[in-house]
Amino acid sequence: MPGSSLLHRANPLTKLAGLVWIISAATVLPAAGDALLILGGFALALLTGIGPGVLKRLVITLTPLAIALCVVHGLLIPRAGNVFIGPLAVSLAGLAFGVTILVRLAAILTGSLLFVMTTHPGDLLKALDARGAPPAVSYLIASPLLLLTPLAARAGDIRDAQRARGLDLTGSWKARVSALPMLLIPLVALALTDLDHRVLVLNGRAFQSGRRRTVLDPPADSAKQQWFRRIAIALAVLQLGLLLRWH
Amino acid sequence: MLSVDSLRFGYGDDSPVLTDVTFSAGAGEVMAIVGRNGAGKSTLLRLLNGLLQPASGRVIVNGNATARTPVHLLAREIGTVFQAPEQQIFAPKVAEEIAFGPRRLGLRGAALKARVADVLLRVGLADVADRHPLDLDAAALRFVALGSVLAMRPPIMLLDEPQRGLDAASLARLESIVAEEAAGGRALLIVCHDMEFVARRASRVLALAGGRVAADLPTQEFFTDPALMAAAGVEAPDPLVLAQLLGLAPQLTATALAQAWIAQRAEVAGA
Repeated sequence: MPGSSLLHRANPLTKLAGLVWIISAATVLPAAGDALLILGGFALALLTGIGPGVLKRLVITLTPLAIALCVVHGLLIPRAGNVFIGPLAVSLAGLAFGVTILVRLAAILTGSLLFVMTTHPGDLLKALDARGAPPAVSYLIASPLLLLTPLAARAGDIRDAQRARGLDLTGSWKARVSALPMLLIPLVALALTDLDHRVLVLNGRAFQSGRRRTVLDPPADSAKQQWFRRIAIALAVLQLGLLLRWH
Repeated sequence: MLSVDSLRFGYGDDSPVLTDVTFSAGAGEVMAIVGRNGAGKSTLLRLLNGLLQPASGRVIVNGNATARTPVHLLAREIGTVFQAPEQQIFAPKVAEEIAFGPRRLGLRGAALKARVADVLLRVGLADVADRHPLDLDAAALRFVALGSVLAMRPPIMLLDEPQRGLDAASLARLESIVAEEAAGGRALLIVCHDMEFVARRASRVLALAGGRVAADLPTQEFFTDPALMAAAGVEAPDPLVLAQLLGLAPQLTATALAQAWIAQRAEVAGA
């Protein structure tokens, strides 16, 4: 999402290092710590102007997951000390475990959304190139993000083309589900046929030449951001090391 | 058959893409929609088939207002061949892809088979009916898309750059299909940048410039007005330029030019 906040302007690698730290912290911390991470992340999202977008995506993504975790860990997996609510045997320990997992995932998702919603894939690619990352690595990281916009546009075009041929996408759920192949098959087939073309174009432009590429307008960087990255990565390694030692 | 009245449309809050567009197309008419890139030609097609709704004004397709008729029902009246044919193809066989539209219209059994066989012959794909469409070349793929719309037999057809990427033989086939459909009473609206194609096949030209209708004229009249052509950002077809250089009356096709030149030579020889 466009914006001019500090987070938007930060070097993508700095944000990536921050995300790595959040993921490792969320893995190590107890549920209360993860909840603090979520609150901190959401406060940052509000300050950055992407709060509503982050909240919407969190709710859409986590609601089905929350239901599934509650059902599986609270009702289906047998544990000691069940509480009976009517005919249901509810495991409080299972629910607590489900909540722990949910909060951990929410913390990781909040961090990921902060990164994704404030970073243009092209800027990430430039930042990786500017730091001398191998082209294949840059491409592997950035290409899924770069493909999102064109794929969404193409999905819209495919939908329009099928509607113009009489496909009803406004009817019952059954009709909509049966229409899915007509929408998904062209999308997937085109994405796959594009791969060949993409490889040829990249190789034709000396993608694998191996020499370090000069980035004409690399994202701004600073000594402070470099130190932040070093500390974030070191903390992440330390946290994961402690986790391994404790377990 | 198709009437557009005071149409206005814009994307978001930006300045309107189309303003006060009014025209109509009748049975048997081949109308070329021309104009510079970004003039609103493809947007106009999406307004005609109901994929987009006008901010104001109205589009009536065979008596149905697009604002009140769902797109999938309008598809019975107005068929669209999009610029990128591969975007609609999902069936594992060419024949099945072509059968999709008529099947949605309720055609079944022998009638459906006969309709598909007829279309396959017309678009030159009878030999590859059982092949996967994505195994075909770009020109054949374009004819799969065209065939899938022909098979629905809509009274009005919209073609977005149908001649793009076609070799001479495929172009001749396309032109013959366009002529047959017009002769059969369909109205065809063709977005096109190829003025030779327009000169050969269109009976009328709707030129868009700056989101407005710059001209709505018979083809011959349009191509004999340099100011209109300049406004629409199109160049005169070669036969017309040659006719001017040879001092002949305006001619839109190579055949007509040759005949006019032979007639002039005969006249000179006779004198």
